[in-house]
Amino acid sequence: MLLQQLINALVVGSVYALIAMGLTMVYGVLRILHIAHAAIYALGAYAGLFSFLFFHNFLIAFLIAMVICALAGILMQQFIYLPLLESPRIVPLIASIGLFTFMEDLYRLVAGPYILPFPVNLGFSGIHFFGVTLTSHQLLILVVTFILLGFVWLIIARTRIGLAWKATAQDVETAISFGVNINKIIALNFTLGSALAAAAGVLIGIYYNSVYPAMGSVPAYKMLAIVVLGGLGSVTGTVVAALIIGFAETLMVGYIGFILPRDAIAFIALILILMFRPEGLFGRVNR
Amino acid sequence: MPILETTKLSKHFAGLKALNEVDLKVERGEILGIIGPNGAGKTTLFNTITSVYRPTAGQVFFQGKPIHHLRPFEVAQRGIGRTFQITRPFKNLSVWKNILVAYGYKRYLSLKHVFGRYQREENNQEVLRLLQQVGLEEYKEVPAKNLPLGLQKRLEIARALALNPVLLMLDEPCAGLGHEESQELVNLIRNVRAQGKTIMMVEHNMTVAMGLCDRMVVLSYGSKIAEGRPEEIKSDPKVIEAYLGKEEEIA
Amino acid sequence: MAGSTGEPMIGTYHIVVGILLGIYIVLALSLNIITGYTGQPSLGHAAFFGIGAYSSAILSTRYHLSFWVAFPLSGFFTAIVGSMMGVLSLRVKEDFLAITTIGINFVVVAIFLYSDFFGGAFGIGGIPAPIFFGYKFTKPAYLVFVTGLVLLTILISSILLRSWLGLALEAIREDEFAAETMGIDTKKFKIVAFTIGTGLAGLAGSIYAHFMTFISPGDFSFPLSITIISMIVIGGIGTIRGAILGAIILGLAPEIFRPILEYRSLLYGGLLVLMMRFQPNGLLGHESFLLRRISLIRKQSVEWMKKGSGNDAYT
Repeated sequence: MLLQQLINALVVGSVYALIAMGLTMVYGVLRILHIAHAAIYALGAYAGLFSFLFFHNFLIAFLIAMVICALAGILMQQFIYLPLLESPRIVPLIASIGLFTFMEDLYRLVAGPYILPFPVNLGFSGIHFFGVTLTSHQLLILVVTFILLGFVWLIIARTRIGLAWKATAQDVETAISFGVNINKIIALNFTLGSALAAAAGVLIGIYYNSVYPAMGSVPAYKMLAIVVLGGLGSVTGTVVAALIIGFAETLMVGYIGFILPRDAIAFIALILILMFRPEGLFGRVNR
Repeated sequence: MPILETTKLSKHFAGLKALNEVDLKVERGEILGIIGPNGAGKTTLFNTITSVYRPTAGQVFFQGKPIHHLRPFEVAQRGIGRTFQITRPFKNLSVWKNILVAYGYKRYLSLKHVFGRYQREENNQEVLRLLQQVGLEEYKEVPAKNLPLGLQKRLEIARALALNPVLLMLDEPCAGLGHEESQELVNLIRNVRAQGKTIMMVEHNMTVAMGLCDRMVVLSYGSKIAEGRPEEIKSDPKVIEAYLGKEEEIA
Repeated sequence: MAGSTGEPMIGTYHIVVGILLGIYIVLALSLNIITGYTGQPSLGHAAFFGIGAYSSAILSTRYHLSFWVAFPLSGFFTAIVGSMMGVLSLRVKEDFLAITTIGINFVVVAIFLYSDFFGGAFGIGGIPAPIFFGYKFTKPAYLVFVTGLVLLTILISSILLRSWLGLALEAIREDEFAAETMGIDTKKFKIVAFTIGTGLAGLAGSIYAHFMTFISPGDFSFPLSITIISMIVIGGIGTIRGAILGAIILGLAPEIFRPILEYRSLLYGGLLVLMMRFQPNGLLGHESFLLRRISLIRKQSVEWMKKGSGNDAYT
């Protein structure tokens, strides 16, 4: 039983990591809390659903969703966040929240307020081992997350552009003086981060077989907690924090029997950790 | 009794000895210069003396009393006013209000006074006097963020003076200023000393430092390597060696 | 035009809107002290509104205290919790603080929702109306009371703004580090700002609970916090007039937009984005477009008057 719960937790945590990654990447460079990211996540689910209904091919739908969301991310960057770079930080935050509200309502008006089914037969079955079941959807989630996050890790750790990204996250001015093209880095963040969110949206959409306008609200603020917990701007920290929260939620609810309300768990964990480490688990000290 | 004294003052950051057992004294009424190549620990020294950093070891005495365990605001209350290397004005507040913030330092301690209005004739007169002293009178309504650098430097000094300090600590007051502006600032500093203030300043600009300071302390890699009058320091081989191999600051 | 109960029937709708508007104004002004004056981003203000409401509800329904005792006690209790939030803000800064305050909101609502002591999902009902010299509060009476609370909040905000305390808070907002080196005990003052701001929100919560007679956890959830902070940002953060204007605009918006209720969220979200993009200082904030227009008009009318009087002594 415990093993099953651990597997479930891993699945939950993986998706959280996928969504939170985009958030932390944007924060790392722009120092903006990009709440509208959750709207991109929902957009991914919708785009994936409609592409699937049109093309009848899951892989194509998946890729289209990622492209659409990458574009959406770039648009947000250009028209909303870049012009607000110099403003007091509450301004882009409110703008982001406004954008999120706007988009969620847009989904409701365009696609209807109903829960739309997203039935995808993956063509392979789940696996069983040691009395534990891994459904085909769970398997897909784990594999895709692993591939995508691995891809991100590769880019950041092994490529020149990844190096430039790390430099920018550390100190924007120094990075510029070393010839880093900041605009390219920022664009990369939004593109990649949004594509990851799209993937998460599609994965969750098929996992629960439901796509609905408010689906972004569920992760929206929890992602913030995860990203802060991991240390804003730290890629490793985000993954670790996402897994921790995934485990905490699943085990609390499924195994220990629920003591704390599920949504609040992330925030309670956050507050507790921040008490001891105000910069988050992997955050940089001395901000 | 020296106004300020540090004994074996040390500050370590995760293995880096930013300050290493620095002993120094600042005598009443003098202008003491702290010089040294980049990274020598000059600003760290300032920050440790004003309690922004807790010393790893050693002590700081101000007017005979230890201050190293106090919080920065208490150090200011005791009579040490400081400026910053990169100016830190209260950007959206007017020049006048910037100075007023420091001027009210005593009020912040008293429950009775803290709710009182700051817009009073007596206060205005005093602040005006400070503005005149630094030559910012005509800018009093200007938001501090709109001031050019030279004037921001003056604002920093006016703000520190508003604390009615016994010791004024200036961190690179002439940094980023042109020759003429530096000269004007030097005259201002001389005037301030003439009023009886003791001054401790970090300065990179050698001409300014040599011309202004009565005595100098030279830091290198966190340790004090020399101390004395400008003429002595100029020809001290240890000092020359510390500066060679780094960019020479000849203003 | 009185109904059979002796209460005036016409204008009841407006009175209710007025009461809620007044409560919004108090919430906006109280948040303004924390976020506008002191610059501490607090995105969970609705939680303190809720703590005040629940305190008053419990004190009056379970312990049968009179409103006139429950009201100040609620404010006081909320201020205590708020001061703890202030202590938290010493440890956790800026963006981290913003997110932590969101967390506080979620946690507080979760506590209301999941604990039986607070009535759980069913909330608390039967909250009695205040009794004034033997007479139960009528709707107009609530309006008078709320107006009084609004005036009190404006008074406190003004006193703060013009006092050394307010100056210290503004210095903290502008540059906390520099403020500390100017002799300001930033820790103490931040806690004071949170205490006063949350205390006022608690008072608003108290009167809200008695007016509504029934409260539930959902009344104090995060979207309300966003609405409150949007009010001060749209109106002009850090200014009293801005907070009031913002509260009026966003408070009345649901009523005005009633015919287009369908598109409410769309318009609301769009409004926020546009405002932040093009007028981040708020409508009545410093150097806002509106203010500049107003001062231009003022200048022009002064010129016009000078010409009219033909008095050269002014030029």
